[in-house]
Amino acid sequence: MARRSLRDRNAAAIAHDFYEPVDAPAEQAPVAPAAEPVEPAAEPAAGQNAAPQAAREKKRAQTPPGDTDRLGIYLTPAEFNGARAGYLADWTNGGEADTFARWIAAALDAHAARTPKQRAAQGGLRVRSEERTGSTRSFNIPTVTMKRMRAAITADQQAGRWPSDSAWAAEAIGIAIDEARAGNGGTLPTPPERLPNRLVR
Amino acid sequence: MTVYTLSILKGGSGKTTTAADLVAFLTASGRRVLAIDLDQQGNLTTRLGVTDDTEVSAVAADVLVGEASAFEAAIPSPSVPGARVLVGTQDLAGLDQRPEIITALRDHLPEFVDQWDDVVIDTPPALGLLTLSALAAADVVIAPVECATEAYDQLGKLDQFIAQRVAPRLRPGQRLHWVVPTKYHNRQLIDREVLELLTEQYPGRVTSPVREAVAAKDAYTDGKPVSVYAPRSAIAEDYAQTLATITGIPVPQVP
Repeated sequence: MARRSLRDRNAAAIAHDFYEPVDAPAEQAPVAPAAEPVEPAAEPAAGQNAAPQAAREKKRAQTPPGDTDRLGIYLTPAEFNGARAGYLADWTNGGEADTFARWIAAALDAHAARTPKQRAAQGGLRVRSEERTGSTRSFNIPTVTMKRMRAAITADQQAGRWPSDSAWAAEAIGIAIDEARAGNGGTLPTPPERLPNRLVR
Repeated sequence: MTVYTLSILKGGSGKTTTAADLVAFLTASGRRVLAIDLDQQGNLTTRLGVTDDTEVSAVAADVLVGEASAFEAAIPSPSVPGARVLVGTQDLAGLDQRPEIITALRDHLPEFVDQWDDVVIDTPPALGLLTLSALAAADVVIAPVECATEAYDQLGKLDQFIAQRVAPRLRPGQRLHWVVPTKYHNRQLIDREVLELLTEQYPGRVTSPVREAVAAKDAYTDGKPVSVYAPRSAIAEDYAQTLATITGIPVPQVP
């Protein structure tokens, strides 16, 4: 473990550098689908029909952009460190998520946008050790993302998969890590002990 | 291993001064002591000689959230040889939103029964999750109470908190074991009245009082427990008597 002076440690804590899992709320939520699509919507995902989809979208649009909810999920050290590395790799390669929480939210959004069949094929419930090695991490996630995640989990349940919130989020994060690694030439950087609050170019 | 937790809702009651002297008392008796500073102000840390320039790889907050073990994070106390300390930092301020810390010390400390004979935990002046965590881990709960009415009032709240929030499930049977009257002036009527009230309210659980003394403030400035800073002072003698009562260990000889 890196050694720092007590003075530096306190200064970092006062600047909220320590509590990195809880990031600043996103200033703008990811772009939500239009409430009243002018053009016919894209072909609905398997197992869903257009009417409930439109109703869901109308409901989503009622949430003011910028609202966030707290998402608490269990992550193993490998998942958490992989996510931190993936976030830095994506940023290095031109990604837009400038906070760790936004990167997590983007991973959840991308996973929610997949069909249940795609999620089952790409993610699958990842095997975890029986022994509890990780810890619960907390993130401020846009409310619209939380609703998409909830709808996707419901869709997965209807398709015969029963992931917990943590397992589903770990699946989303795992795929995002794989994509970040592929986009970074097959490797990921080693993240520092403390991520900066916000990345700036 | 005996875990001592010092707690009271009111600030300035002598929690940290008493905790530091308990660390020094136990160490002087030949025991291996771990001090845990759960107050973000880090005053116990300072009283044990740790300064802003001291390098640390992990602190008390890291231990509570499981990012470091107590053994990894504990650093030697520069002013109390033989004692080690888990440093209290501003990081602790963020932990009142992390409910998993409540059982962290209760479950983690017994792993180090071979490393330490005693653990002394200083708590913040609040009944939040950090204090709950320290009370859940405690074998002996000590409440230093300034001889003033407002401090006496807060003692009742601590007693109720332990009875309602800790004793039923978190630490079955937990109770307030000792009350230490602090900042005592024998010539002041109010001090004598508060002492009398405490003795009536908590019979058999009130130690001899510890008098007010400027040596306590000077000792902080020097980064030492009172009994290390001024071992022959009257307040150091008060502490020795009080702590002998609490620990059941005879007063160590002053070199």
